[in-house]
Amino acid sequence: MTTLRTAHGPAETTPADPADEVLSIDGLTTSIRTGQGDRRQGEQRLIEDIGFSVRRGQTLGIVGESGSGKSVTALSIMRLLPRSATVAGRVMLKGRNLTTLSDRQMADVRGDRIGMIFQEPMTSLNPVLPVGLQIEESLRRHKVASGQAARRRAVELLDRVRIPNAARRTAEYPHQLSGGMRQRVMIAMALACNPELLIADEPTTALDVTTQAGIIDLLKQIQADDGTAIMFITHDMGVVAEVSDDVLVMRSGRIVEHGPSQQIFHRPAETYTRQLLNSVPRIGDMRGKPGPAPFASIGDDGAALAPSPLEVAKGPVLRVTDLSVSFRVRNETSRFRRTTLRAVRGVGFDLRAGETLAIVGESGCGKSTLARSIMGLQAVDSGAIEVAGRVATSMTAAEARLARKAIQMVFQDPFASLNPRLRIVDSLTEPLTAHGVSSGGARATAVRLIEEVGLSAEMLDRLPHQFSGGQRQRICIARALALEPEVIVADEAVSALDVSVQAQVLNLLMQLQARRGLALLFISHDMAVVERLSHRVAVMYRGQIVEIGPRAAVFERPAHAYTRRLLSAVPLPDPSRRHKLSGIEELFGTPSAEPSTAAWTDLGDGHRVLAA
Amino acid sequence: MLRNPSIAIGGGIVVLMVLLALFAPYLQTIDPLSMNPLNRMKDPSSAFWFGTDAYGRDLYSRVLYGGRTSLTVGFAVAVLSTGVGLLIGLIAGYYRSLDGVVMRIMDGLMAIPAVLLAIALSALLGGSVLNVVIAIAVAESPRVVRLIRGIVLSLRERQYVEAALISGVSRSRIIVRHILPSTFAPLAVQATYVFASAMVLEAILSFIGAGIPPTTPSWGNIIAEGRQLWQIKFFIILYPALFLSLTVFAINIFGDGLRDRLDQRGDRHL
Repeated sequence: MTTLRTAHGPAETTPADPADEVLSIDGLTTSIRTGQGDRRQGEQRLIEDIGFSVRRGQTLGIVGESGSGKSVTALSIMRLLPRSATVAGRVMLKGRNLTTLSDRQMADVRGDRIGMIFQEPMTSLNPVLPVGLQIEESLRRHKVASGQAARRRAVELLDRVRIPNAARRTAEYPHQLSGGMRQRVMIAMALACNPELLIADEPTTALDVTTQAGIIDLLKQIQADDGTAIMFITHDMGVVAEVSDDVLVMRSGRIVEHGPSQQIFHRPAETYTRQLLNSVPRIGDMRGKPGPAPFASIGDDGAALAPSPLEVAKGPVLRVTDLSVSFRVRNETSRFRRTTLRAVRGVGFDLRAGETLAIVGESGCGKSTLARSIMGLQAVDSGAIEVAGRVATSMTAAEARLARKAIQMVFQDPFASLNPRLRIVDSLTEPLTAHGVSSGGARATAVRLIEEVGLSAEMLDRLPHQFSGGQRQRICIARALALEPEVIVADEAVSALDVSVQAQVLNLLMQLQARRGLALLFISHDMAVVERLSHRVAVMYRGQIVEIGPRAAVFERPAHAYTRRLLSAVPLPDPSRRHKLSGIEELFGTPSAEPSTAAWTDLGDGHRVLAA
Repeated sequence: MLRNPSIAIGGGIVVLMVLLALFAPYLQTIDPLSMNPLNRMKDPSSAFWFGTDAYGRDLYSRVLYGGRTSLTVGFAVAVLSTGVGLLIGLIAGYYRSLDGVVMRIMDGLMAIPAVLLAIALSALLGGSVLNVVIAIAVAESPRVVRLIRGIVLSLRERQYVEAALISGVSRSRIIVRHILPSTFAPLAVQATYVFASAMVLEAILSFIGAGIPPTTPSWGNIIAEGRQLWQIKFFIILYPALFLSLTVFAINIFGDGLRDRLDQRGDRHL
């Protein structure tokens, strides 16, 4: 924490100095015309009566679930909404009312007085221009620098956002940079003209936790140096707690609660804020608890159910032995040469009935490839996959089809995993009719399934677009259950959902597991979720499992350096437990890594680690 | 649907042309095949609405009957090449082992200009309406194959297709249930373009004498027969050319309208 930040601490302790006020918003209301032509349906309010202010050196976190209006608020301030939107209210930037400016004047403000960072840096950067040129463009546009001076400044900026070899990097194109680096370039662009206000809209959502930690760190450093006011929009309560001085909670276009960070997180006044916080799994919550625990917040399900400690009766229902998968990918240097990318290297584990094994790791570590190979969607190089005692890798297609009845999958994106043209009942009965169940019997099963996942039978004849993301994911779970599998593979099954919905779906999974004795292979990047529902955890890094063991052992006594790094990078939804500045550095480039042929070290109780 | 001007105007003209062709026997004034040396190259008049050709045949009646042939060829080619193209495209897109071979054959076909290919085939098969249809369909199909294959390739990676695969649904059933329905909209649009392009190809084939035999009037061979006289009596080619151009234009804008209308990515859901 810097002196600057403490000087402008929570509003209740320090009286606001009006000269320090960078942005002040009053009665901001945005509506959009719906329908078009002669089917005009009138106006819909997107946000209503939003008012807040941000001071110099202060970070205001805006949180809310999807559709709460947090991005619309940012776009309304920047006046970047489509023509069909109308904005009312007052937006004062350093005493200047932005709502009354002409479009041309507003264009001068954007990028100059207000910098903006978006979620997906790949789409916000121009793919056909070198990044240095894109930064220079911003400098020239706002007449900050030109010619050689602009070039020098671009290098300085890249240096400032801690991109190594900044001078060389200016000539590189966005696709040559990693996600974290691209976001750093975006930040450099946003900072180009020393803006008074930085609006960051979900800037770390698309990034891995360790990368995220680096970006948050950088933003804090910049704020400490320049005293920039930051409006930080996110759905992630952990990130908000990490960065914000003040927090604004939004729901359905309105402000639910607004106050200093400590107060919002420790003494929330509103029920909604409390519910939101209760739905967020926190690392460390599970300390000392023997098995997975459902979320208590939602009330409907879960609360009644306490998953019993694992009863290990039978042998494993899924056994993966020494599995390797590789891809032939085009070589970066030559069009004609291909190189082998070893996505999964010698992975092995057992999964028993009623048990949840979580596979965690960052993007590109091979966890999804592993899931796809287990499901038979990806050919494997070597190794064996045994499902319910049958070796799935060495069977004919027809035998494999039968064996795979016992293992089903829930995908990440609930919007892509249901055929938009098929009624729900058709999606649910499809697996059954494929295995010879009569259509009448299948329909009866569909009714039972949809009720089992907490939806009602009259929804069966609807189409997927009539459901929310959470409901769709329930339907996908119901479909996965149709064949009475013994194992469910869930690949990032809740990461596309809002926290409260996520909590409900996780509760459902735990409930189904307890009722049916399902084995769950839960693949996720979210450490806190994993801690909540798993019995055992396997950490994957660069295609290998580097550590595997009981949940408590891995989380409380992480033995591998990577596991420790992963755990320490996760932001906690608690502002009093922030990370120290420059605690975690992003690893740049690809660590020189041929797999260590190192042996496993057994730490007892099934906790094993790959010695580095 | 009719609120879209492209669909309304294009569709309207096409319907009109089809009606004219259908009711040609009732709308004709003089038998289109009867020659009369006394009435050679007459200017348009109340007796001969569009004038007469070098053999004294009534051009108005010939254009009506020519529409029958031209539209039949266009329609038949559209149906045949979309049908064949759909089948081959589905196979190439879904069964990856066949893809390479099938697509190289299609690339080979596409490398030969459509007109040349059609001339070669129609010379090989001999001139008749059916053979002209087959010749043009062979030349047009590869484009449909490529379109469908592309769609199938993107659809087969969809999560709902993989979900079906995992739950043991057979490949043929996946194609019928999950892939085929999504190809219909682009296929319908492509069919209109094939329709229009087939009519033009037919006219070209007839024009160079490799198309429909002169005993059956088509817009193409009416123009072909008038080509020596058009500097003296331009109307001999004016009317058939006008009908052909108007129809092709109408089908094309109908296709454009259909594409806009069926495009799922439009802002209909916003």
